[in-house]
Amino acid sequence: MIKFENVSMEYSNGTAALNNVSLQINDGEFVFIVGHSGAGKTTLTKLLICEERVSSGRLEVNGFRLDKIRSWKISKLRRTMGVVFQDFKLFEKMTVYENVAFAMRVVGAKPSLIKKRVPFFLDIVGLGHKSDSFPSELSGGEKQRVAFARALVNNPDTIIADEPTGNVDVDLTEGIMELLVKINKLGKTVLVVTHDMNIIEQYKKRVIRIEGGSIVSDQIGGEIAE
Amino acid sequence: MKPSVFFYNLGQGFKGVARNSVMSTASILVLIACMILVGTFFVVIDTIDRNFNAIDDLNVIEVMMDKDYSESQIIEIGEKLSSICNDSPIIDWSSDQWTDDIVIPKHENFKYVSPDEHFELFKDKYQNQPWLDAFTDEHEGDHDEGTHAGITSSMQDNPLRGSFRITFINLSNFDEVVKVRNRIDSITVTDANGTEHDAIATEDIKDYAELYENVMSIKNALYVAGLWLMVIFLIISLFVIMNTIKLGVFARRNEITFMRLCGATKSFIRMPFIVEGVIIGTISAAISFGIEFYLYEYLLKGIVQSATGTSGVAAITAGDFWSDYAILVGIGFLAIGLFAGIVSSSISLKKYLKA
Ligand SMILES: Nc1ncnc2c1ncn2[C@@H]1O[C@H](COP(=O)(O)OP(=O)(O)O)[C@@H](O)[C@H]1O
Ligand SMILES: [Mg+2]
Repeated sequence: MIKFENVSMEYSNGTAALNNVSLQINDGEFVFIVGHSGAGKTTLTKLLICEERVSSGRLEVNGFRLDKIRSWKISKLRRTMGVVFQDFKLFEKMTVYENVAFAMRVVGAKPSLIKKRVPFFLDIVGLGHKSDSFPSELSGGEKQRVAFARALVNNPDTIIADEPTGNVDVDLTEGIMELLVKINKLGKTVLVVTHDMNIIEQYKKRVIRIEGGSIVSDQIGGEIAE
Repeated sequence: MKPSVFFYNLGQGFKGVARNSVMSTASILVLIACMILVGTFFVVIDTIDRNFNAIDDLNVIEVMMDKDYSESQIIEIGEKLSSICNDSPIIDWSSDQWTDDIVIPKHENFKYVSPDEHFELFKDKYQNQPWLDAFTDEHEGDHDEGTHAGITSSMQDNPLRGSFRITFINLSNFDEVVKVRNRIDSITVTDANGTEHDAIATEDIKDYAELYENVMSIKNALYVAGLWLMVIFLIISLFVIMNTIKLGVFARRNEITFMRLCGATKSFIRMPFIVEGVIIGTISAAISFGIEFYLYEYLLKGIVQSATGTSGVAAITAGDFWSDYAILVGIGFLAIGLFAGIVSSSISLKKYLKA
């Protein structure tokens, strides 16, 4: 569960990125977060993974109180989250398999577990046959799928995707969204940051709109006034 | 640490050293300079100590008597000397070594050596020299039976003089030795006419106090210089290694960001860099050890021997290096290397890696 109570966040240069945000996202929910550029969407996801700390208010994520978390506990929190980066951040010198396995290795997973899980999640994202390819040999959509497999492989409770369709062709968007729905069906909470109105209208999920660091609407479906 | 994690870190550490080979080499070179400096100062200072301690009679003041002093004058001087020495804390009178001598009290640490005794000592010392025979032939047998008690020479032309030998507990109490020396310098003796003269010329008081102090001050200067150079080189090494690690962190920043966001622990992310520092330190220590051995075996030994002209002066051998220095030098170098490696990579990580 994710619970913001009157959370404000100000960057060290004085930019107030979030003002008095309150919201709750329950386990297993599928949520879009929308808003104009600079609205504070990415800041919100950074708070969730403790990349940035809240300035005031109360923030609870998957059982951790992030407004007062100890630094040694942050790695534990992050293991409950899978993040898909906007720019993929795949390692060019590693194969698809190694890219996914690396995410497990860095949290100290046993080799036997890595051998079992990596092919399983590559199959889920539909890339079982590409496990020995290098990122340079993949299309944009395939790279994005590798990023999803990597985010999923440590079995997190929550998946956060910041503009997952931002860097891929329009015709690939649908496949990625299908994948996110599939992930949600696995029981994981899914947070998708996007500004693609077509997607939002198509999927009829909960939409939280942020503008200027504040929540301006929070409702099911896509009927949001611009 | 699990074996798999240990080997992972070791592998990553070596990869880091190799990836950044120019900076790693620079780090290793400054560290080697630092270690060789420390090691050489240490060995030089210790060599000075050894050779100095090998000098005989280091803690003896020998007060030479003029050749024309009569027995009674020498006895007078002896009494004055013994009363000076009685006042001084630097002579150990405690051992029961008094022997009855008709004219002068004898003690292990305060004794009169007559010209004849000096001659015997001289003969003993140069026993095997061919020129000695001719020399002794000349002097042997012309004993003047008239003199007694062995204070003055019984030989006609014994060129040697009598002396008082005063043995101190040790020379570290240099100020006291100087005090005694100055008092000895101002002793007077009564001549045949009953007037008092300065009894002992300054150059007739022979001791190693000055030498001792000079050597000590050289040693201290070396010590201070060595310490400062070590500190300077250590700071330079710290900065160079810090930079090496910083470049490593920057080269791997995408990887590190990803690891952090996956939930890798802080220690898991940092350990490869610490290991990189440890590897740099250990390699430096190993190379320095080899160089130090070479310096010791071939250079220092050669210098000491050519400077003293003999190899008899507390002879230094490779065996000495292994038995006396190897462990100390090895541990010392490793300590410097590990200290520099671990401290500088930790500082670098603190500066350039966030939680
Ligand atoms: N690292 C940062 N330091 C200072 N200000 C930042 C930083 N990142 C973002 N901001 C500012 O915070 C506000 C919200 O940014 P962001 O959350 O990235 O918006 P969005 O993802 O909705 O486009 C913007 O005004 C942006 O300029
Ligand atoms: Mg953004």
